[in-house]
Amino acid sequence: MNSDMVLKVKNISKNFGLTRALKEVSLNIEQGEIIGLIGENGSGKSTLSSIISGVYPATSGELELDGRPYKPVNTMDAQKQGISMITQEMGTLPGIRVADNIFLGKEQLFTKGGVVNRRKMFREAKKEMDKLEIDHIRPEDPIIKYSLEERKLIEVVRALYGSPKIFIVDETTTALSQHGRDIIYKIIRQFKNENKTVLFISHDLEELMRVCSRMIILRDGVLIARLKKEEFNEDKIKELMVGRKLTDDYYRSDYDGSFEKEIVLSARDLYMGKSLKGVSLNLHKGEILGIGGLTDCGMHELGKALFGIEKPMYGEVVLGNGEKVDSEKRAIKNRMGYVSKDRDQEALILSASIQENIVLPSLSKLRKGGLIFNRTEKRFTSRQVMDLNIKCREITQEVRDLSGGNKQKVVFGKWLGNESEIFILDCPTRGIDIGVKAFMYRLMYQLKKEGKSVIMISEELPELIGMSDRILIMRNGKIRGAFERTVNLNEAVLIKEMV
Amino acid sequence: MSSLAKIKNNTFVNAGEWLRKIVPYLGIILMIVIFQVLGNGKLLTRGNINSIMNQTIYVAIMAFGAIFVYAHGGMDLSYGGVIGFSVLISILAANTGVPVWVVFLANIGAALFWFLLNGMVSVYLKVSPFITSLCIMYMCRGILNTVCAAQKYSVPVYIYNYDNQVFKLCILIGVYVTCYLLFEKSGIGKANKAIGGNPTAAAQAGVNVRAVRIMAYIISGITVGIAGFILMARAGSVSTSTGQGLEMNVITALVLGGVPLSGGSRVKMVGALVGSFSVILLRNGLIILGVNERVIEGIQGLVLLLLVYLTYVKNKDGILK
Repeated sequence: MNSDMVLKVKNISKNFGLTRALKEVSLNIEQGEIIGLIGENGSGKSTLSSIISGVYPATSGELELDGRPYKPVNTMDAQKQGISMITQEMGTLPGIRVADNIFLGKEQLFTKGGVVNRRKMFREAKKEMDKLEIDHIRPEDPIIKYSLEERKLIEVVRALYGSPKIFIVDETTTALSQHGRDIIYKIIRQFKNENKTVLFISHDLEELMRVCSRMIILRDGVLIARLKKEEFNEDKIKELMVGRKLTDDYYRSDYDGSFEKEIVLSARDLYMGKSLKGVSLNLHKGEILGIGGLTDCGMHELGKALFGIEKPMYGEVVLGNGEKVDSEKRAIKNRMGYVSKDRDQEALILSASIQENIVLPSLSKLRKGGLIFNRTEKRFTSRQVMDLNIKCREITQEVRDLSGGNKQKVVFGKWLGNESEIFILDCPTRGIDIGVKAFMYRLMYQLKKEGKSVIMISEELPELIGMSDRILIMRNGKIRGAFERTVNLNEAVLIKEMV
Repeated sequence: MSSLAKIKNNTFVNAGEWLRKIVPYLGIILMIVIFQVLGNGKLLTRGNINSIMNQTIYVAIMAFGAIFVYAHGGMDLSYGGVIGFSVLISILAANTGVPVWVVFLANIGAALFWFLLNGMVSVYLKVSPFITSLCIMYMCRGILNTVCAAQKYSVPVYIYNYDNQVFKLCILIGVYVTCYLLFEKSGIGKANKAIGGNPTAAAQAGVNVRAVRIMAYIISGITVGIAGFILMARAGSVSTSTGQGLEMNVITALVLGGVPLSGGSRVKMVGALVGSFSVILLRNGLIILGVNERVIEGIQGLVLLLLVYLTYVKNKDGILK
């Protein structure tokens, strides 16, 4: 009867200070299930998975693993009991080798008389990686040799060592390319075949619907629905997630890809390291220019070069007025704004307040008689907070405490406040939920209508097709194709140019 | 309009924040009460208050400038050595008979030289300012040891006119107001805080990170020069030990004033002022209680470590990165 039950979650609640992140969530998880956990930012899905994987304890409620009470002290303890998690954030230690990372905290397995048998460790690491068909990573290499994506895979190897009963994948696929994702999907299928369990958290609804056997929907810390595979329906799930009916104007609905003739920004023959090999483009007034490609095609570096963050070895970026963009400062002076794809690392000062973040690019404009007064800053910030509907306790609150979507709104607030005319957006909707995503799309369209220009760099083809007037597809540092906005434009056409 | 009201009406969640802000003031009050009672009223005598003021002034002036450096995540340990060097140069200048404003400029120039060096080396050569400033401190000490070993240099008598409470208080207030406005109400201070929070994000928001960091060292150098003038007028002479240990006083002042040494937006100018009083009060109080001066140094080290640790636990970022 209940023999299939692996994990029982009973009335789990979690409070962070005054915030109630989870409210009395109960859940039964059976063997061989692939459970999708979905909800908007701040809905509590990461909180739930963190409690299960031992990151922190619940405020109240109980967990049962295989019919016995389960109270993990930390993630290591959870892993010993058979529950492993990989997360969105980096989880490998720099400065040590690949194999050391895989067996972190388990060195005693290879230790004899106080000496670690390195050779045995490398062999074991190799074996583990072979299992997952990761053949290009060498266990004896220092980890810094590898890219973020490869490190993520190393983390996966670590999590899977000791064959856990339950594998939690927390928003990991967002950081991975198709190849990395395929590896994760394979692991998930393998788990299912071995009658083990996966808890899969992702913002990508389509991905979840394809992979999962059951779906759990959270909203504001409350479990809203449990859906079986045959009940999966995209619109229904979205509706349950946001708690209201979503209208169809998710993307812009028109197919009028027109813009003005005036060129506001152009790149001329940019060469930069291995990432840009002769890129030229023109951005027009009132245009949304989409740039797509695989993650390492050079488009992210192009965004940085356009804003003057990275200097090209050859070629130049020129504004409509003839001025060259050679630094961030010059770009901002000419009313450009840049939204980095690494929000927490590059776009925000997490330990500073919403106000300090939003006013930063505009400080020189807020000066009155040489001084910048707090009330001027407050007025300036409050306006952005209201216009963008940033959910916060107060504008002096640290940005760190905001959800992903609200953080992204703060980043937008910096540039809207500075009255930017040219927006360079690198993955502007990465890791934010549907509600805020829709808001961002509306905002971009509105900017276009106001005659502002937008470059949207994105790894998601649907949003490129849905929003752009023109799409440039990059491959290996070069632009391979340009596509006008039409009804017939589809992903297949673009993918052909990407790979 | 209602959401604006909502933004403003939210003071109660900030109880922890508020407590963090008032602790430095509570510390001062607590120390005054304890030392006054245990020291049989010797703390708050006219003479002793004067002495506290005299010592606080130059520590405070250096701390005001130090705020800029520490806010962006920089560091400087050379205060004692550099102020000693500054006093030496200005006394040598004063003895040539130049007007007093030239002496004053000599103070500033001498201190500025070393701070600019630390700034340049850490910004352009990317050497840790911790190491650079430690080396600078030793270089300054070396110069003082060499020059002052054989001969004692004293100021001309007229310089003593500047060792006057009203004048010094005016300087203190003037430097504080200037530094306060620069740090809290102008781009340079805000840029320094932003760099301390996240240099990449600051750069992407248009902050010229290198220039701002150099600027912080320049401001700090100027304040050390001003403090050097006051110390010169006070001490009247320079010896191998001039300024010794002052770097410790400046850093302790910052920490006692609630300034996180890792920098960022929690750095406040008022912390330097409050902290400078605290550190001098602590040292002075212990002397009144009859504690040996060498023991006091040990106590100060312990207090600093303890405070850094306590702030470390409370603050998610930690006080030192």
